Amino acid sequence: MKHYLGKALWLLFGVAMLSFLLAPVIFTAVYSVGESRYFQFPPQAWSLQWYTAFFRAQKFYDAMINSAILAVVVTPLCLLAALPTAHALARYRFPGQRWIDALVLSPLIVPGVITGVALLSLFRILHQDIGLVRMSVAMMVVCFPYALRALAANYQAVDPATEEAARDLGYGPLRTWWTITLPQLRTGLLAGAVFVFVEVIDNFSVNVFLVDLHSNTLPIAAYQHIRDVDDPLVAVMSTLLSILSVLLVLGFSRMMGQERMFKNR
Amino acid sequence: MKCRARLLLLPAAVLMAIFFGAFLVFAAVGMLTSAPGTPGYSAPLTFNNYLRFFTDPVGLGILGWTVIFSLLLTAATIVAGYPFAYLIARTQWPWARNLLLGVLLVTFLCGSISRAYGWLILLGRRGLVNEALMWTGLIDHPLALIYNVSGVFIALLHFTLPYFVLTVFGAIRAVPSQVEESARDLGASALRVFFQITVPLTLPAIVGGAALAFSLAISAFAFPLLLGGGRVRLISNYIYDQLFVAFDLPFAAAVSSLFLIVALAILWGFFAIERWATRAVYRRAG
Repeated sequence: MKHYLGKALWLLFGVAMLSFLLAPVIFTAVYSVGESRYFQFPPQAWSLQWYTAFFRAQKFYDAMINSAILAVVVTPLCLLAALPTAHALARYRFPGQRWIDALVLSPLIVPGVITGVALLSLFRILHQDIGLVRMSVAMMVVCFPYALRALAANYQAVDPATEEAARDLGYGPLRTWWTITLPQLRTGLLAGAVFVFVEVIDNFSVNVFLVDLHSNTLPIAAYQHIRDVDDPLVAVMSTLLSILSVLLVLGFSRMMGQERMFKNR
Repeated sequence: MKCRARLLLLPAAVLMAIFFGAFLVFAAVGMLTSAPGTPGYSAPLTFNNYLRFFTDPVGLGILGWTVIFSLLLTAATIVAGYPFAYLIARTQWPWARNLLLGVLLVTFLCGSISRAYGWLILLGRRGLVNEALMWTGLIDHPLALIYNVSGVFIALLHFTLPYFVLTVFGAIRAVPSQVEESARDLGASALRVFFQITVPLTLPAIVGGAALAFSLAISAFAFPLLLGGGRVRLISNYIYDQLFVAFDLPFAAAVSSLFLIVALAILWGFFAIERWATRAVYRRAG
């Protein structure tokens, strides 16, 4: 009897936590496809009119373009910078390595607002006024630890013996890295890309200090909209971003799954 | 060999130079004085901005309140997150584990503005929570759940929870369930097993996850901005106001430097506890 009671309590707790986690995502999606301007539950009529309105709104369109530019520029550059770093940290032993390890990850623990203000003071002195340039540099610095952590974890799984074998067969260091090491880093690159991409699209606290009048990103445009207007346009944006992140996770796990399939064969 | 390693570290060195260079400039800017009415600032170098913060009861109060708020939030994250991580790790149904982990991952990736907005809809005067409570007759006036501390707290808890649960989950999985079973077979009650076996063995992960939750809470900015409606001000919002309301970059920089020192000191405390807990686990294991 007591046993069943315990199980029922755990089940109840699990369901409660699940609803807590999903509630904001689900009800935002419901709000976005309702016809009403104000939140109603259940909605009296369904409509996609707010989606049309979202894509017609110039400020969201511009913000979407800016966010996309940022993500497309920063994601590959971040991975490109993290690749040699991960290699050096994994394959070489040098003094002060632990310090470098900690130093490189430090942007993760500094509060975003402080990073934002600090970079703003730097850019003021350098007279750099272009929002997209400032945000690209900032996002590279902020996201670098994400890319590096994903790649460093992956490097631990790469067997150095495969590299040594290639070297013994007469491959140069670059060719060894390109043909032997890099293909084994695919999961790390993918995971790093997803983390960096999501952070660049979502970042608010750093970018809000660096933006100029013409370079609003999606979160900043959303904040200004919520502050000034009461309609479901931001619900549309949130829902689209949620769908994007679900797709990224699904695609990611699928590619990982294929990877595993190849290994089994 | 060394030379090649140095070359490989070059991109990281450039990025770190920007990051730490920015902090140097910024600590120096904190010692300048803003020219009234303009966004500019000028010499001479003084410690006036730092002193001004220490003699300003409002700013000090906000900093103190931010630390207390973040510690409370960290405690709430542990209390709600640890049993949840335990449930995910120990459930007998693999599909339930995958479902819960998938949901955690999706909420984790959904973005902070989206989630803050979701809570704005749910907790508002005409939001779902108030409607539901009125419908059941528990209350007859809508509760004020947003534009005060409770809304910010709930939304931030939702934000920190996935980080904590995903950190602790792996550690609980790593404790063999046989250890718990044998304790139970020896007659220990379920609660005793939980608090004397599982919790102590996973303590390093709990402290590590708590440090993560704390660092997220203390840097919270968008959540109080959206859900606090100007009435809940954490230190990040205070800094933002110094910059965009008072146009005083030097003072904002000074406050940020002090805030950074406080945040890093507390995080360092967390890491010290984590090291101590790890050693304690090894001692128990012999």
